Amino acid sequence: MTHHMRLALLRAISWIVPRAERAEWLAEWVAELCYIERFAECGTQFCLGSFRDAWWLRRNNLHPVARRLLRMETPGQCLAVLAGIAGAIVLLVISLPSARGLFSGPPYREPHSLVVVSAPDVPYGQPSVSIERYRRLAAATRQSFSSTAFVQPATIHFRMRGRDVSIPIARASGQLFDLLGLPMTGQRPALVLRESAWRQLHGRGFSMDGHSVDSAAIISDGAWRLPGKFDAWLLVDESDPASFSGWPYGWVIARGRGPNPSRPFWYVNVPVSDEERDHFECRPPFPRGDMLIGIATLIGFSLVLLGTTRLSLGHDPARRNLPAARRLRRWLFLVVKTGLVFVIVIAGLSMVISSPVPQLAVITFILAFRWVLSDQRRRCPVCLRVLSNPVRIGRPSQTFLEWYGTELICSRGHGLLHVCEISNSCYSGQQWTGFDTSWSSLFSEPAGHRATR
Amino acid sequence: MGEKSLSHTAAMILQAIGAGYVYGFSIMEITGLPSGTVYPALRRLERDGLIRSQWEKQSAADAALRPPRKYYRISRDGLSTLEASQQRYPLLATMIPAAEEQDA
Repeated sequence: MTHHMRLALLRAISWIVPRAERAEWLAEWVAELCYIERFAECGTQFCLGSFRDAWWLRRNNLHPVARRLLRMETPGQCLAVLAGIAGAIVLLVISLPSARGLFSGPPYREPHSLVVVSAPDVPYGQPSVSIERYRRLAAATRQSFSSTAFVQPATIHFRMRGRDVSIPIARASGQLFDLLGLPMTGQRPALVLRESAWRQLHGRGFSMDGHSVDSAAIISDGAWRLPGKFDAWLLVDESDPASFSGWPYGWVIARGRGPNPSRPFWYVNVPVSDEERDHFECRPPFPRGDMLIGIATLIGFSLVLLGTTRLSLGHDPARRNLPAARRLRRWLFLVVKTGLVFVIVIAGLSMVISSPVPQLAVITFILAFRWVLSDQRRRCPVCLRVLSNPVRIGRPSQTFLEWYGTELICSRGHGLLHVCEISNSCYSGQQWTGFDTSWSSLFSEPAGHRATR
Repeated sequence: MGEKSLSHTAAMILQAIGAGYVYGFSIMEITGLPSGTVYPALRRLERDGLIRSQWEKQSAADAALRPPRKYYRISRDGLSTLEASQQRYPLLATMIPAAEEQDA
């Protein structure tokens, strides 16, 4: 990395630093970099360390209200922050057509009888069937499929506002959207446009192979849930040999006469001659096994959670002395917090992945649940506020083994939490010690108030 | 101001400054700590009043044909905190000798 690249990196990172300190921060790092480049060869490594420094300054210069909110000290603040994040992500998901689709289900008529047919051993979503093979398949499977359609990817280029534009389109059999049962605006169109593409190209007609195509219908952005990503579908007469010229392969979409088999895929054979047969793989794009996947994910989540996470919220000998309302409030807080975190995880996952991946969901849920438990453990079991004033106890040895425990206190004087660094005969986890009224003189609130909590 | 209880890393950095290593890179060199640890620790120590920073005079930097550098000095509070840290971590002084000893 050259000197100029390192300077650019430092300048980029300096945007994290609050504006008031940015110039001085950058001057210090640049000065040190100049010195390092003269006498050492670790300039890049040195510059990368500036990120932590910049982040430290940013974190410690937050507005007091923002810092208090992020600390989530009171249970109300915690739930408000989580609800805010969950609400923001859900709103974002609702505005994203691809993510919205995961929740609303496919917009097609009887989606579980649809089938995507491809050549065997070709990854799902890859065009693999030629128009000749499609015609053989359509003719030979009329008893199995009530309707079939061919979809062939293509690209069109045109000039718009003085610049060249190209958009991905599909040449498709005229009956494609009837087969899908997809609602759209427009009658018997030659061209179907995605809503956002229609807005982009508003007022324009297409010209394909020298022929103008003006008759258009519009479908919503998230309506196409089958292989391929297209802005438009040009509906052609599949009996015309010239209709599917260009890219040699496409997909076959078919609708079965009955419900699909409960298998992830199956094969059909089509005779080519007396001795030769053509093989196709049929895969339902919307399998019925969603519930099974959900149950399997839940079981996997539970097993991994039990194996990796300590579920205990800490030892509290005085727990039974707490009023039932206080105990209920504590559990209610845990349940609501868990629910909000799960909403954040589910909505967040749906934004970044196009289909549910059980493994990823399990890992994310585990991490989220671990945070929920650790947050619950660092709170006072009486008032549910975050414990403060951590004090390390014990004396470190001369080999810097650090302390053997930390004690945190409830700022309202409800008690003390002991967190041991290493399990010993006295403590194996964290232990809560409630204060009685004799401690009241140390805290601002009257003892009677605490005793009744 | 009461003495602050420092972590081992912060104590090492304070010891280095007290020993005469006054620039970020010289502290990195003597402690072996990366820049991402040293500089945030310097900010914390300065925020807590244990060290003070000052920019080098422009004339000195011009004479050496480089930009002026920021250097750090230990404060009075820092000295008492360092003494407490040396009692807590007896190997500190051995690990980080004074800058003059190192030069010698």
